[in-house]
Amino acid sequence: MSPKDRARSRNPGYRRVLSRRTLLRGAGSIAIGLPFLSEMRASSVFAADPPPPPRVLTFYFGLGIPSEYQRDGFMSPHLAPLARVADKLALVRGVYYEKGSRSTGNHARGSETVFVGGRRSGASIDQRVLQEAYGGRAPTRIQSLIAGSYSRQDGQSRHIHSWAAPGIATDAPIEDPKRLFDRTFGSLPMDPGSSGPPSETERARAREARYARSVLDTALEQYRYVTSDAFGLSDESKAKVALHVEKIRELEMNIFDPDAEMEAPPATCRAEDPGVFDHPEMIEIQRTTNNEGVRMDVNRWMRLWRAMVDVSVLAFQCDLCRFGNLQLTSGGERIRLYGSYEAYGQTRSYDDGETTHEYWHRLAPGPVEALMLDHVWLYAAEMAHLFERLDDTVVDENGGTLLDNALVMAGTELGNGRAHDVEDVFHLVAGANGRLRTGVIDVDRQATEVYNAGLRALGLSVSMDGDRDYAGSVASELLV
Amino acid sequence: MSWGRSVGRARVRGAWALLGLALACTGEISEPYAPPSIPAGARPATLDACVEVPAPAGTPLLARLTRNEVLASLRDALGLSAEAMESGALGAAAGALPLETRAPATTSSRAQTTTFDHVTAYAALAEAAAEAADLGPFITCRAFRPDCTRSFVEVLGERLFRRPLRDPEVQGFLPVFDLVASEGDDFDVAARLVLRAMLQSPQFLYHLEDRSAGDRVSPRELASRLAYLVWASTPDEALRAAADDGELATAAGLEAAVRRMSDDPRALTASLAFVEDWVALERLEQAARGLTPAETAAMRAETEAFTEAVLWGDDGTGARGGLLDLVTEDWTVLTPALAEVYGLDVPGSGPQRVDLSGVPERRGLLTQPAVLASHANGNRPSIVSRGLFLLRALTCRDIPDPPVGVDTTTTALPETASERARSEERLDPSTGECGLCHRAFDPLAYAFEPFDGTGRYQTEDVHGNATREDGWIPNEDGEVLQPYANVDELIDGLAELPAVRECLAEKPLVYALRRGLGTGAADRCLVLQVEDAARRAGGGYVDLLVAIATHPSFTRLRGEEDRR
Repeated sequence: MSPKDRARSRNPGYRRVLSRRTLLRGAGSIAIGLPFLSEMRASSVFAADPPPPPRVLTFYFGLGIPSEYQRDGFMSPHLAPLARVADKLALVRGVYYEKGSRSTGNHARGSETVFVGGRRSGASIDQRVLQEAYGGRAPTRIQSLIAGSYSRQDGQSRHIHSWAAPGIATDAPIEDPKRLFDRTFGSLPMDPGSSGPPSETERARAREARYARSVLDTALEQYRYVTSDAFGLSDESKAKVALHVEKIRELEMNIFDPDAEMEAPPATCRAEDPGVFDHPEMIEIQRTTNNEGVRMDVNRWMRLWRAMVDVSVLAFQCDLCRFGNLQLTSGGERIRLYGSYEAYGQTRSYDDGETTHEYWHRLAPGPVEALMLDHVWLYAAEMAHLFERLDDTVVDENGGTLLDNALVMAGTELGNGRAHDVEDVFHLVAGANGRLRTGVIDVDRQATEVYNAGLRALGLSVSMDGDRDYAGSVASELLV
Repeated sequence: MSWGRSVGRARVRGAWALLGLALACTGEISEPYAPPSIPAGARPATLDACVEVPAPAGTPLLARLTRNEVLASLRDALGLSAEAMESGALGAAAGALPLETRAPATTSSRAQTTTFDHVTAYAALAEAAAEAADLGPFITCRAFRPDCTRSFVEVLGERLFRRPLRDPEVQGFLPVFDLVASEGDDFDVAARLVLRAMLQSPQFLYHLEDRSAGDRVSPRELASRLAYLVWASTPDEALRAAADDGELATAAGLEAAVRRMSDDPRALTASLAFVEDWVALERLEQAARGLTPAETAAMRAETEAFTEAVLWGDDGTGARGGLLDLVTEDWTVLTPALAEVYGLDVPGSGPQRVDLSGVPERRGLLTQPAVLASHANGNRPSIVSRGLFLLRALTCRDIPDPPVGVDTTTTALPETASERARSEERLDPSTGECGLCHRAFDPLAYAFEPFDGTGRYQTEDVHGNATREDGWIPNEDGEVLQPYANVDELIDGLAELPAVRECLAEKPLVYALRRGLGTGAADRCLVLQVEDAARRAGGGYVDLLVAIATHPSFTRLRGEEDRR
């Protein structure tokens, strides 16, 4: 079944249709964040259904889901929420980062290997696709949206899951829904206003805008010069500076009345301002290295997390960005949850006696296992929620949703939190315009091979700079 | 990244690597725990072995100016006043600059991620600075003629980019004048736009050096390194002149430059920021729950005033001390409000020097409330947090995370057990293997058990247990090296340890080089040589700066061990 057919067969009345073609026909409104018009026109002329643009969204959660809880695939009782979107997902079992490694250092090792394949050995798959498919610059306002909740910032390794180059983080995660909104929808240029002759104030404002653009363009010219061979910068240093440059370009697009190349999105592409969240726990966990962990009301956390998901998904749907990483919790997170978690008509209760990290350490049949199975259920429910949101709107002319057409991957740092190993690491993949198989797929593959399959599914012949022993090897059993 | 020494790659220095660790653990390590081995010869034991050690071969990652460096550079290059920097749009933009991550130092290039917030803050800062700055001194004539426009770009650019501009760089700014002329605005409008662009350019925001022309570090590049080492800011006219006159080409010239720069207030500011980073005071406001902002401000003020007095010779004797003196001096600078925490009565209202020889439990930086409260567990003392802090801050060593499968939560002790009793349970081999690691640092913190999480001294803890302050300094294998009866003896013992003396040279080196030091011979020798030179010159903070500034690793093209 093609993505279009699948999209039509599932909840046809539910899905909003927000195709690019519709947007372009929209009432004279200008769609910022859409591909350059020239690109769109060219593809529309020659193909009825142009292929969807390459997009990658990765989702990370900390501490893993042990393989025994995946035994029955999507029918596993604690993965049940995922069954709602299972026809579009592949649960890939048997992925490893390294065999035989059992160490607490694996929180960092796994966090730095997921979506890369080797430990800080290259770009993560989102950035690899951005670089290969777009030469490093997609025709969107934001190049990469990196966001999440509850990360430990006592070291980069546990909360960075998007890398532009070996050891060079794409961005620091935005962890506040209000800041995420401001970065995406809050900064969209306003309506152009009346069409009469400009007033003196309008003329002055227009002149200031030209000056502001000149300032940024002039600075960008200096970046170009500095990253030429004029100063002998290493590739690594150039990659670091290049990420700075992308942020300046984004600022440029926020400030100016966009020229013909970018149009303002239609009214349907407006996120609700989530407002300011009062989340002292989040601030604390970001700044503290206190290993006793931070107590947190699971409900407050979920309100915050879901607000992050809402804004992020809409940003992808409105084509404000095509690449990103969302992080539910960071590697080795130490949060002590309390309260009741409700999703999909079920309730789970938390016991804040210990952090989830400590509970994983102590995993054994009995009350601790019962608690952790509830926690797995939360992971599954939040993944399902994210996937359903990605699937609720048709975004491409082939009738597909983001879940159909984008490459979507979920991963984590550990196989089993009890052993702290990095084998049988939970991985879900989806999308890529029908090029990926769905269902439960058992493999014996190093992560590099799995990510290489993702690249192939998007039609790219390059490979990940992952684990050298698996360079260029592809987990072809994942491909249709 | 905790000092970049991961166990798996055998980066942990010394025999401390034998130790894995659990942070609050009592229990069995279920699997055989194989400690990582130390590569033979990775640590030259003596200075004599350090002759002709080649520098690390890797290329360092380009470092961005830190938040403090951006603000100080902006202020000093444009001659803005402190008031101007803190008020209006400029103050607001400065406040919006993101804080630095510490990994391992706040200057470390590898921890820097440039976020969208950085870029918006730089833009706002540049716009506000362009409004506030007096550009008169940079303008030779006000016509849209090449002599006027080029001259302005060259003069201002040299100040902001810390070296003469190359022709392509100058050319890049000239179109701004064409635009402004075509809009009918005057020269000064264009000049301010050029300033805005320069302040957002990489030559201002990064520690950019030319590595395309072989292994030469230019005199101006060296001047910049010196300025950011001593001042955390941009070079001044005298330093630029010294560079151009070739005075920085010799060790004597470098020393003269550092000593001259040390008399400038910017050197004091930079030293305070370094010390606060070293003892991790950024945790004060979060870690010490229940303290009011006024209380934490008073604590911080004490540490700053004490640091200034010790390092900069305001202690009444005129002597300028070193980092070790911060640890060993037996006096402090107290306000009446904070004296209450010490249980002392200080007359008057302002800060005053107070002799602590009659206060046996207090001595030096480590017993100051700001430091004690920054390393606590809420309002309770934490032997684990303080022990790890002392290990990292005074020996430059670290301990990896707990080994796999350890139950870090069980204890046979009642809830009311003292911190000391909990630690002794961890260290007891019959209760499990936690002591394999904890014995390396828990005993360092025993002396501080009487200090609660707010830095107050108490003879009983919250459960009524008598507090103790006796303990021992462990050696690298976690065995008893030297027992102590109280804080005084602990500090005396630490001050004698070569590892501590070397660490106090390593810390500022990490800041100066903007990278963590590796375990290879080159970095190890660097520490030994700098420590030796600083000690022989008198051991003061300025002597340490001179030792760093005159070391080849500082003056030559830099390398870096592969630390990925």
